[in-house]
Amino acid sequence: MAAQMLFPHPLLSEAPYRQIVVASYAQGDAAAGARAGLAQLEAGGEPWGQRSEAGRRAALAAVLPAPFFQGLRFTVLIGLYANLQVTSRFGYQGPSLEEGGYLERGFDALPWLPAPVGGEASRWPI
Amino acid sequence: MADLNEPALVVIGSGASGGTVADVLTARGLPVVLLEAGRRIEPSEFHQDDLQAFGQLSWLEPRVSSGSWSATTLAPDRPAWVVRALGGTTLHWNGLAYRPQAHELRARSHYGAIAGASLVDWPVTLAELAPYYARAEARMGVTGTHGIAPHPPSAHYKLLWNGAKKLGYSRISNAGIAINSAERDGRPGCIQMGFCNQGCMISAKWSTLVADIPRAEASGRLDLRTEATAVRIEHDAAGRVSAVVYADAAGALHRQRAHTVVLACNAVETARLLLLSQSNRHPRGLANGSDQVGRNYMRHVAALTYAAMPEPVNMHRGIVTPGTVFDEARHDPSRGFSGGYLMEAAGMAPVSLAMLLDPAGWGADYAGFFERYDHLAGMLMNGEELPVPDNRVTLDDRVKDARGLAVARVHVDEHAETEAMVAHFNDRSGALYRALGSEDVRHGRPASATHNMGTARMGADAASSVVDAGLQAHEVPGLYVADGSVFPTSTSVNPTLTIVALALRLADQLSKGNKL
Repeated sequence: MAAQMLFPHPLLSEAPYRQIVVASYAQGDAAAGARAGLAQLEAGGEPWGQRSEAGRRAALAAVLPAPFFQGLRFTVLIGLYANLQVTSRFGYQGPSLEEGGYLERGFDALPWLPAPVGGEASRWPI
Repeated sequence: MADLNEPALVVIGSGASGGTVADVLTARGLPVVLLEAGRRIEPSEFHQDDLQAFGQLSWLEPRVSSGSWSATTLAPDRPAWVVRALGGTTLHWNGLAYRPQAHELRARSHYGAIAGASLVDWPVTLAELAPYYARAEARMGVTGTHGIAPHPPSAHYKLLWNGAKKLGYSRISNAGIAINSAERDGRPGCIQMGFCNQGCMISAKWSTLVADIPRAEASGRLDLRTEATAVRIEHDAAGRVSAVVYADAAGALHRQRAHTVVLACNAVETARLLLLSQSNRHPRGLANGSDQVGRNYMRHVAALTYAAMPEPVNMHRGIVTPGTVFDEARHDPSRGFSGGYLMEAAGMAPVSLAMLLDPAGWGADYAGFFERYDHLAGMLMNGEELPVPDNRVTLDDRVKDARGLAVARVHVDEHAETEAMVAHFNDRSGALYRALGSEDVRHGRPASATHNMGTARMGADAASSVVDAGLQAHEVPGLYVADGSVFPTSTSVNPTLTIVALALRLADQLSKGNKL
């Protein structure tokens, strides 16, 4: 699955990738474009199912400059990293207004390094 | 609405400069017509979501990028990321409000001649501007000035401080930001939400939308017209500014007569509007007999460094730009470039970082970096960019906006010194994170500009500048420019505080004898 090869995450199942692809490429011209893109990806060489991981990555790298794959890259990037259900798995927390920001919820938590000391709170280079 | 045929003082643009000028003039008894191309968006309507906010706030009408900079390929129709809404780019600025260094306003004298650069001294000194900086800091509520307490250090700032100390740096500060650390001026203290660039939903961050414009409205002397896009500035037979033609939301044109016009549209659109305003007297565009309008466009040298740290940082919690290292701001040509740069810690959401860090990135290595999101830390470089005459805003001969007018073409060829400055920043910022145990440091450069300066530079010589030291166009009495267009050089510091200081100075001049 090209979408998963673009931004693979061991933490994620196939489901979020499938959602992105279905939302963007299920119908009409987009579906036709996706079929053509897939054909381009799998053209030449051994049958796709018999290729090694490295072989598949090389095939994707070869077609990536094509407009369809540039569009796919952008669609998957946005679909994953603008999806809080995905990024919350990586530690992102999204909107904070309703929780009152982080003033009382760890904005200053860095227990593994010393706190700043001295007169450095003054302004520079003013 | 005032009579269109009654000559008015018209300010075009409601951001840092236009909003400030409108507030001061109305406070001193002068009626002002304020034209803003965007609509009014209340803070409660903002989105704590990078993509939604981008769509809501950005100037999305096309422009054209050209030249050797990365925007030409990566952002061909969006060379500059600015806001189109009431309050302008003060809605999405970070709030960093630093004064430049005195020598930066004497760049030509201090740095000497540099091949390929049109380096000049400012026609004003830092000492002359000091009272205006002080007033700007008070109006904007800049922490560390006027007894305003700095914010408590965030985790992301503490990390920057520790790394900077390891490198032997000593000029490190979390002060100098126009975000309330406690209630002030009718606005609350910051609650460390993040999302400073998406419009502050509680108005702890200064913007003209929540500070200057409401005051001007309360004066009863502000005639605010939103969704009013200026398309042409006119002059009379004597050559004095006489009217502004603008399109309303439906596209209908109106002509507001004017005795004074203050241009405050950000450096790309200010230059475009002058170039669009051709006449028999000004065949190359208004105030452009010198062929200087649009030239010397500067962005700041920008770059980004992000690193995976051995323990969590959670850079998304709190103020987006919580602090800065100033040690590299000095002018030290032994580093291979002129001027200096700031190292500004900057939190970024996963989607923005994934888009910016490597615009072609993919695969397990790239994706794996974002999987460690809570361990990431990073900074932006804000470096002095040299003025280059052929880096310029012109009118594109193909692409038109919704009103059929030529859009701005923004051309930048990187100056040779830029590469050396970016390489130096990459080396120092990488060392800073490695000193704290990072084994994965990545560098990138943003495609689009956010700081825009220089396209109507100020100077004493009418042949090599567009406006005089008083910000009046050399060639058009009554026409003033108030935004970053007038910067003769870019300095190493973020531009907004200087824009507000210059706007206050201009407002003083325009309101002489009108002090209530």
